[in-house]
Amino acid sequence: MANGPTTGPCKLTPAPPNQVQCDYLSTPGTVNFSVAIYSGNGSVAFAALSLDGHAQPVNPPAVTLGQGAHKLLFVLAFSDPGAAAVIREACNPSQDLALVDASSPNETLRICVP
Amino acid sequence: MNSPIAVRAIVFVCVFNVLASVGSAQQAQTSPGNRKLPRGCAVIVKVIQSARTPQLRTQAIKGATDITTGNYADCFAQELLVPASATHASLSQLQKIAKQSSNRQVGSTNNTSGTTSAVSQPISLLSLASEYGGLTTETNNGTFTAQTTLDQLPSILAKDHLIGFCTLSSTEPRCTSGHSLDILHRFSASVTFNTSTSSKTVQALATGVGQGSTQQVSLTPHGNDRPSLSAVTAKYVFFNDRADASGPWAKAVSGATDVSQQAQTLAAKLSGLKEFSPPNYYYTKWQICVRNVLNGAPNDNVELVTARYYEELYKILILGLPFTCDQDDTGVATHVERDLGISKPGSPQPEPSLITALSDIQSALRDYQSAISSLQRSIETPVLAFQYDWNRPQSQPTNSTFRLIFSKNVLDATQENNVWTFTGNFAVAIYDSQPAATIPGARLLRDIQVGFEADRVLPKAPLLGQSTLSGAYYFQYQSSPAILNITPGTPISGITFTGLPPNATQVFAQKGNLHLAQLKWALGTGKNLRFPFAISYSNRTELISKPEWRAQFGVTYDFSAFLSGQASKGN
Repeated sequence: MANGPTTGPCKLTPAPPNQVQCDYLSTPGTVNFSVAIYSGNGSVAFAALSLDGHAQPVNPPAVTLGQGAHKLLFVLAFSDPGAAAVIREACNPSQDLALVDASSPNETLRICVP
Repeated sequence: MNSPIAVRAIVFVCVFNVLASVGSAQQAQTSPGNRKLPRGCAVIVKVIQSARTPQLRTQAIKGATDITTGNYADCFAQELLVPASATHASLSQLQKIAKQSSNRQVGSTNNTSGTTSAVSQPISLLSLASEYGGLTTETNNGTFTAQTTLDQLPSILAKDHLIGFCTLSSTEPRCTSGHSLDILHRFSASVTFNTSTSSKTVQALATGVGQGSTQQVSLTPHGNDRPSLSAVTAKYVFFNDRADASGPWAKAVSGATDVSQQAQTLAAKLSGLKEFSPPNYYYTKWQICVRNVLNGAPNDNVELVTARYYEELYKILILGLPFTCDQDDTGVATHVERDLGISKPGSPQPEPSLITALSDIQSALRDYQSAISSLQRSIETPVLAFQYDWNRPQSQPTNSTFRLIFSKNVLDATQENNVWTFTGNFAVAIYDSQPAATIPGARLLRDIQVGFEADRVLPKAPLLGQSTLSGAYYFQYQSSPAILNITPGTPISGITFTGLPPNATQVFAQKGNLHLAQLKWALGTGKNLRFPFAISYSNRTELISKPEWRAQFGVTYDFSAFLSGQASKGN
């Protein structure tokens, strides 16, 4: 499992299902992520991370969010082409954010910071 | 020799074509309704159905209904690009529309990582493979070995876009898939040439009259100008182990420059996908409608709903037609207009720029998945393999060796580093033709070989980096005596015969069992360039029945790292 720091409370909360502009709401600050195999075999790692079009470090995978609407993009690398992974917020306790299948290894989350 | 190589080449091409055809034969999946669900959309159904918590399912539905995030680009591209009915325009027409649009995405394709390409090399295919990887070259003790696995060539062609690379969700008509390359990766071949011993001799003929102790001669070369072929090897791996524990895989990903570059390119293309401006009214209606329906649908109906609603995207985004939700259309329209503040347009709102953007993303996705596929194969370690060697030792009868190879890696407690590798061999060698009956004890069975090797990765040392210490034991039962072919009047390099009858064409040595122990130290563990040094002791050799100490050194370069883009650094 590729991990970011796991200490600290979670910052992200799910946005209402019918809100098209945001998947998650967040408080300002740094958000850490991790990824783990959800189904299938092998391992998974972050290959790229981008915030609003700007590349972010993947080791550790973390972004700093300011006020506004953000597009956070993950590209994952699977060792098994038949696996699926779950992207998590690395916090205490960690929370599952999104599922990613190896055949479509990228995921974009819309995060709004009010 | 040319014929077997030609036959092997034809077999390889046929195997590749069959594998490519198998990949292309898998077409779109049939949904429960009349419509075929595009292949790329099957993953959406899979992800939604596999979610085990309500939050993950809701997010999976959100991600699957947001075309401007670039999620599931294959699905959306196939819905928009592949004609689902006779009313759909062709891909070229759609791309023409997109190019005519003033707001289309324009970006340079900077995803070719190498400075050389397949077509720029004016040399043979083998050398072409050498340039990109695939080839591990070795010069050791007077031999030059070139070897490759059969997946390397199609991998190179896919990387250079000379053939398509496809995944489970892609629909290219003829392409090579990661699964096909996995199969080809199990086959490998190598060719070894003698470089230290010349296959060419020079004959001197005295001319003129000798003067004192000197004599003028005329020198004439005899023999072959080409390198001397020493062996041809074919190998098939029955079982592979994948060194894909979490730590090593993360290291492999971060160390693979090709993967990182392609991932960044993909991220850049995905980020280039702009929001619809102004917001697309009917597309937003579609989003709200499909989310409502999918959130209320049991898993069994997800495929049906997807098949029903995703084809609407072509009408909304390409043709600019209105969209009506099957369930509570008025409520959805009210939510879009009142809560989201998106007004109903007076004219159609096609989004033709989406086509080029999605095409670019698909292309970047293919390149990324091709790089990942190469990396996946590069971490495979063979566990059990069969090898056939066709040996042509100089001045000896040709022979064939059938070998079983077992290998096992042992990781450390953290499961992140390889510490030990154990390898075992069992082989039987036969002469390609029955030896002369006049040689006592000679028969078709040449020898039986058993060997074991243990390799221990040593800790990093200053300047030297990581290295490997190996100990090996090899036993050979000589069923037949070693035979040397000789040509009267042409001596064998390095051997002086005394008292040989002038008409002798073969000589043979005394047979016996051979025990050999070797200690080897190899610098450059985990790197592409390695320097092995070895010292060995044997109770005899095939020809000489006396103990012998020997030292060996070599240089090996693993070109396959170029293909997977792995950096040359230790683990």
